[in-house]
Amino acid sequence: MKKLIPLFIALLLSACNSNPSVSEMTIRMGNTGNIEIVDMRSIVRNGLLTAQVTVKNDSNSNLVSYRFKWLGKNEIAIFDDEAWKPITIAKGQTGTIIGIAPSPDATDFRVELNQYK
Amino acid sequence: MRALNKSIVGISFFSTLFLLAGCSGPQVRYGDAKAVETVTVDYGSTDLQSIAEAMVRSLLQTKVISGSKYAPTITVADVKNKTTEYIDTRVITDKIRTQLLKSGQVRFAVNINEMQSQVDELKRQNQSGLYKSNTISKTGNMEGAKYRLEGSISSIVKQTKDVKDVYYVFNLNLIDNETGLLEWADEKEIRKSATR
Repeated sequence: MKKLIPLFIALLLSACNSNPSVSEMTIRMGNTGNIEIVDMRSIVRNGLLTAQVTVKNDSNSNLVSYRFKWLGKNEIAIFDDEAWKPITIAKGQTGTIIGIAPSPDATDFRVELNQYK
Repeated sequence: MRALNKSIVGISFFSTLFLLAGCSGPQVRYGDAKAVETVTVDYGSTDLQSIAEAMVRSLLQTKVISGSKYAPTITVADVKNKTTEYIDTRVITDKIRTQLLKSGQVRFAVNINEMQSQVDELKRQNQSGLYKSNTISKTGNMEGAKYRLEGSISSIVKQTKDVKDVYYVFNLNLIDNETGLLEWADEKEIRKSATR
C-alpha cells in the first residue's frame, strides 16, 4: 500500500492539471493530418494575448488555411469566428503563424487548421 | 402497332423528364462567409477579411491605444485605391472600424462622409422646435478625433500566357491630428496567382 501512495499522488496531480496539450489546442478539419504542429507558445504583449504556432508541412499539398479561436473565462469564445487565412508552406518547410487576440478579454486560444481548394 | 405506341409513350416520358430537369434551375446553397475564396485572382472576400484583421490586431498593440488610460478617439479618413481594379475601400475601413469598436479599446468620431447626416440630425433636433429642450443633442458639443486613419491599396499585376500573378499591398497609417505625427503604420501583403 505504501508503494502505491506516490502513484496515487501522481495520478491526482495529473487529474488536477488543467493545461491542455498541443493536440487538444489544435482543431483539425479536412485533410490536415500531414501538417505537424512543431511548437506552440503564447505571451501577453501590450495587454493582448499573442499566440505563435510553428507548423511543418509533410504533405505534397501546400493548401492549408488556419484561424485562431479566442477564449475567455470558462473557455467561452469572446469573438466571432475569424476568417480562414491561407498559408503557403512547401513540403518539408516550417512556417510560423502568429495570432493576436482581438480584445484584452482573451485568456486562451485554440488554433484551427483546414485545407482549402 | 402496339410496339409503336409503347415507343411513343416511352419517348414522350423521357423527353418530359429531360425537359423538367433542364427547367429546374440552378441549385442554391449558403456557403461559409469566412471560407477561403479562390474563384479568381481579383480582389476578393478573403483579401478583405485578412487585411482588416491584420490591421486591427496590429493597431490594438500600438502604444497610443494599449498604453492609453482612456480609449482614444479616431476618425477614418480616405483609403486610396491605387490598383487597376474596382475596390470599395470604404468596406475595408468599415470592417476595421467595426472590429476596433468591438474590442472596446477605441472610440470613433464621425468621419467626413458621415458629417452631413450628423449635421442634418443636429439641425433637426435644435431648429425644428419639435423636441423637448432637455432631450435634444445640443450643437457645439461634438468631440473631435485625436487621430485619423488613412492609407492606400496598390497592386502589381504580371501576366504571361499561362500564369497571372497579382501582388497587393495595403498600407494604413495612424496620424495625430494635432501634431501631424505618424503614430503607427503597418502594411499587409497578399500574393495570388492563377495558372492554366
